Amino acid sequence: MQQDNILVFKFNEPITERNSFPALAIEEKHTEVHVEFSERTYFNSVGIRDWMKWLSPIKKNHLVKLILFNCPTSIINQINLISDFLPSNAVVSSFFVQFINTEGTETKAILLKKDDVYIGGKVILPVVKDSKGQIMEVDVNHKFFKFLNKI
Amino acid sequence: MKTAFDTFPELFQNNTFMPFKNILSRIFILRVPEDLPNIQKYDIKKTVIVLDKASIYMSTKMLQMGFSHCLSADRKDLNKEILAASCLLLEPAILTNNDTPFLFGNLIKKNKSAEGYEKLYFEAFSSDDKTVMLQKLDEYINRNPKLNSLRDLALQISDELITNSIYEATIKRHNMRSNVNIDRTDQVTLGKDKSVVFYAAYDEEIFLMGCLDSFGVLNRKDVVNHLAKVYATDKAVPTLSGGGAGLGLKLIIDNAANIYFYCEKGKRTIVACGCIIGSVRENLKATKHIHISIV
Repeated sequence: MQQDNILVFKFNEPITERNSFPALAIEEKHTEVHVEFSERTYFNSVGIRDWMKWLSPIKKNHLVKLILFNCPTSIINQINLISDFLPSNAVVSSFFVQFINTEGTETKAILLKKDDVYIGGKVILPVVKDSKGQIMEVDVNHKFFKFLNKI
Repeated sequence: MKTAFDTFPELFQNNTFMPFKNILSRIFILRVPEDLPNIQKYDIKKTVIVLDKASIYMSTKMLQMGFSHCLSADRKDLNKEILAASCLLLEPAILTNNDTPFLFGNLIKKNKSAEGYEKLYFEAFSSDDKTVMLQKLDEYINRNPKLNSLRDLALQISDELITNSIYEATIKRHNMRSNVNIDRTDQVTLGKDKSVVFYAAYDEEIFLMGCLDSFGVLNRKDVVNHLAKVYATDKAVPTLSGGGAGLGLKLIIDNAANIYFYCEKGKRTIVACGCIIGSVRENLKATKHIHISIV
């Protein structure tokens, strides 16, 4: 059940110039804003700009915490590469990581919770197997996890 | 000064390259950093830059000096990219006058690497067509399992390519770029008999996506200056006012392994980029090959 102090937004489609963002009406009772993505969400450049504008009420209000759920890999890359993509009062709770088999023919996007994989400053990933039972490799670049120690 | 063929003889032993020996023997390679002390001896119209530790920053510096092709020495496809750069300098039609410009499989007429693989074409007449184009690309990737791992990269790249083509490249009258300052949330149509064509194709190694327009207004200085600005800092800063966010080019280059800008002034522009078929990681970590060719 949704709590009164939490505002929840869901983005299931690519975030581009074709979307209009819902009103972000933060009231005094709100202490958290939850944003839930789907695995297929991505931002294009205009989407990034509009997202940053949309977040400005949160940026100005440090009493409110922004928590992101189900961040696709592409959004984590953008958190790592775009200045002020997230305000300082933001946290990534869960994110997708793509795994790929050695032949490059099979991929799996696995949803990971930050608290489960980031322990004592180290990233500990689950073992993921392909349809033949072979261990798959994580398919992200070496800088991918740097967001974990910042937000 | 050494020619491409003499600098990397081991790279061009394969029979595939023999028909191009004449071209490769007329192009010089400037290696960075070792040849930098003699840089003034090199003719920018006959030189390809090969960087030992390539970075966008260093490539941009070389582009600012007037060179057009900056390649990374540590990539497996260096030979193909040297050939592509050499063709663009001497005989660009070899690479650009075919149905999938810049796809290496097309360069070698007897090479079958690009045959049998499905190609995608989509003609866009307005910004509204982008949604359908991206759906078609998604379906295309679904039909070609080799490309599956690259879906997110490909959709992002193609989204930016078509947006740039529609908003940055179009002219209506007096050669003015008519849509460049229009907010990207505003719909635009290209005008009577005007369109941009998006294409996607792949061979054994590269998944290529590109946009072709018939305006030919790409400005080399604008591209290079924009590159310099976007990559001046570790983290890119979006433009919060104006037409676009100023991030499209960065999203394209970061996600791809190779990028090609080609413009015949007043006739046509092709902007294309290639992703290495395989993992996302390979593309993100790849030191980039960059070509900017204006003829």
